[in-house]
Amino acid sequence: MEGSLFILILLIIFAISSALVKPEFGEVYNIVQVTQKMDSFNKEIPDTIDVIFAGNSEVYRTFSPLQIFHETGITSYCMSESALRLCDALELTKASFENQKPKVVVLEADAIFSDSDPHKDDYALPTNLIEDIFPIFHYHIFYKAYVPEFVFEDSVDMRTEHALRGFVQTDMAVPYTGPADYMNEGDHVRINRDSRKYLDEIREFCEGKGVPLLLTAAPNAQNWNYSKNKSLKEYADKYGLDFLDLNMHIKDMGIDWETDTMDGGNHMSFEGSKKTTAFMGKFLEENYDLTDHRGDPLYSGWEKDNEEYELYP
Amino acid sequence: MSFDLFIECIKLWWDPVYSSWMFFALFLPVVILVYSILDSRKRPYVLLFSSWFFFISLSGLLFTVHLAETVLTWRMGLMISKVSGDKSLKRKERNAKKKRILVTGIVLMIAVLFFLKYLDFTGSNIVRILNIFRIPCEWKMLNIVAPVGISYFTLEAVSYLTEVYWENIEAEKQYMRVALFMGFFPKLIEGPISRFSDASDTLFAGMPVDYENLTRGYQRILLGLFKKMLIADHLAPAVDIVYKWEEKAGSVALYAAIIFTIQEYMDFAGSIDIVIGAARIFGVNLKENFRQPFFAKNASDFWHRWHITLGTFFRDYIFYPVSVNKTVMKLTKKVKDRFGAEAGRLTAPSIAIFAVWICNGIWHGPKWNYIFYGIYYFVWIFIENIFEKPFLSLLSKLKLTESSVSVRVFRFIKLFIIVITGEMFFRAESMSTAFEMFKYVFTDFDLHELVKHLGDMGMDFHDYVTVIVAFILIIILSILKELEVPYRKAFMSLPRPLRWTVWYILIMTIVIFGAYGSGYDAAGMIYAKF
Repeated sequence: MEGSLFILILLIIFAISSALVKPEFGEVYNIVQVTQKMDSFNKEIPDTIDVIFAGNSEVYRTFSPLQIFHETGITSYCMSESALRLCDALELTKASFENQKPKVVVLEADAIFSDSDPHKDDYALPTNLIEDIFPIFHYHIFYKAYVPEFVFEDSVDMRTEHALRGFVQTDMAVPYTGPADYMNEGDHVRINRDSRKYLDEIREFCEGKGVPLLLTAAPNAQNWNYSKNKSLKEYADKYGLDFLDLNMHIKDMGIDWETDTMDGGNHMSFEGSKKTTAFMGKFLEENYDLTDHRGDPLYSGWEKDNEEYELYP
Repeated sequence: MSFDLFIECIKLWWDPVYSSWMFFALFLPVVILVYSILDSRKRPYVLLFSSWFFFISLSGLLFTVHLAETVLTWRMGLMISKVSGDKSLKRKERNAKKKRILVTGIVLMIAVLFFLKYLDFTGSNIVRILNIFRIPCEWKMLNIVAPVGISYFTLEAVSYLTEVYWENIEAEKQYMRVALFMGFFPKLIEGPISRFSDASDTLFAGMPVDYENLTRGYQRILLGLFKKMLIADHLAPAVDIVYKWEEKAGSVALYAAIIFTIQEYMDFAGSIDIVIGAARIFGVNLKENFRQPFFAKNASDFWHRWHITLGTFFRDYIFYPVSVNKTVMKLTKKVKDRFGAEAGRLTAPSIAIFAVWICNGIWHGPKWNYIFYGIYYFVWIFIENIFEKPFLSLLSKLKLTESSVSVRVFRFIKLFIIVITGEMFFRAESMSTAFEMFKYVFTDFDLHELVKHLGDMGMDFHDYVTVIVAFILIIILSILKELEVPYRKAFMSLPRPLRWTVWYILIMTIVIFGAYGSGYDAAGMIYAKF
């Protein structure tokens, strides 16, 4: 009897704490990454961001908003995090419309071909089950999103995150040594059911906002192939979306796998990102009605950040 | 469905580590339920079959080896017992026959352990030595993955047979009992290493799950989870990173050794708390494996408080037999005659301690670091044995006693240095890396390198706060235990709502601040791999 009462009270505590920590905006996989990204993004002056780059680490290693601004005057932001899932990309995309009026949403495809559900981990199915019943077990690290001011001030990463608008600059460069025709490698891949669900939601959200959704794939010699290209193209064609696979433009961009990848073909190095960003910037400039904000005093912060970090002279 | 596919299906849903939710929130309750509804004669079978399920989900190979070894141990035990009772044989003849069976049994079991765990290591090192002498040959690595837990139940089998041989226990007639003794699921992965005589009283009794055992068992599990999930598992990624740190700095090397020592202790002690708590639920009393090791007065005492059951095993089955070995006794006499009584006094224990520490090093695994680690502790214990008397006489001259604060502080600092240095070598990727790390502590300390990169070393601000606060709480608890303050009695005398509130706070602290779920990789158990 005593034991039953103890367990009953414990279950009530789990239920109450679950209700308290469950995010209001919707279910996400990594609440800390999502909350911190939202906080960082909300520091931007309202209605000044034109393009949102959504996706995982492929985004922040491939597209540099400061460079795009420097070369075209278009403002953008990398709403991306390491191993970010599509469910998180959906919430970040939604959040980016709260204080801003983006005119284009660019979704990088690597996250589409990865796990997408907030409560599924192949290595922890039982934990997932408990998380479904009591979300406190999933969102228990909610407090980590709140970083004390003194830590924030001391953290190079956190200050840089905002100045570079989510882009992560690296000095690493490890050559890709595999076959040049990596697009031919790999088995047939389809967009799985979970990813499809979140992809549909992102597409419908963009349609609702009247904003074009551009699907793209960053150069990736380790994880990309024709099969993925085909699956994504089919999806884009079906719904009339724009699709830009940068892997089909390796020569146009002048990618050198010796120097342009930071980890043997998976992510771009800083040198690689300069080439992919230039290509993407030009594509955005030519295909969408986006304004050149260079010289506008409202956007002087962008120029100041570029001068401070000396990345694009 | 093939056996492999069956195991894969189990593994999808069931992660057989003691700190997983599945273990104590589902597996354990189900076993408790089935155990409780059956009568006392059938209950040990519930424990055995649950243990076998645990084995299978860990590894099919492990289960096969376990079955074979339990049958072998059971049969060999009966054979020894039969010879012991055979009055038709002369005593000498009987002893010789018994010894042959014992040695055969032990050799067979050690051979299995050797094949699964040490073959590649031994083969490759023999080849290396032959190559030094320009004898051309090569070793093709077999890369056998030794199943976890095998080192533990092999020692238990050796202990069982030796105890039967010494006639300290009767050989068990029921196979089920031997199998359960060697495979009881809570102690399967990390021990504690049990003696048959210690376990048999409660393990086969089929005692009912009463309120007292259930609550005390789960309370102990909670304490273990606190140590493991709040401290050890937060430190795990940091340890991995700092031991591979590319910038050579002594400060990082020292930091690596310190946090690894804390991680290892909290992981192992926390897991043992979970193990002892889980066993307690079924009324099974397992031996304690830790007793505030950092309050030890010297290296030898440290090992009486750290991994106690392994130390006891080596004491009883290596130290004592080697100490009274005829050859060793002869040598002791010779040394005594030639170098005096004091040298003679130290000879036999030193040889026995050396044997113990070589075995201890090898037991940890096929790596030179571990063998070095064993020799390292032998050297320290040997030095301490030599200097203990002069040190005590120095204390009396200085009008100090062993309980003086200054002496205690001195001993703590000395022990801290010994343990941390040992762990630096124990955890390093290789011996050369370990020596490099050790060298940098003295030649290139550079504290700035550590401070500058604390945020890049696998833990964020919140992790540091969590680990530090939890660690302080565990230290306070350890001090209370060492001082034998009856804190549990005081706690139990509190009104129930207050006690329950404390338990709810503890549970929610683990749930919120524990290292698990998205954002964390599941951390295994360090001592499971030994």
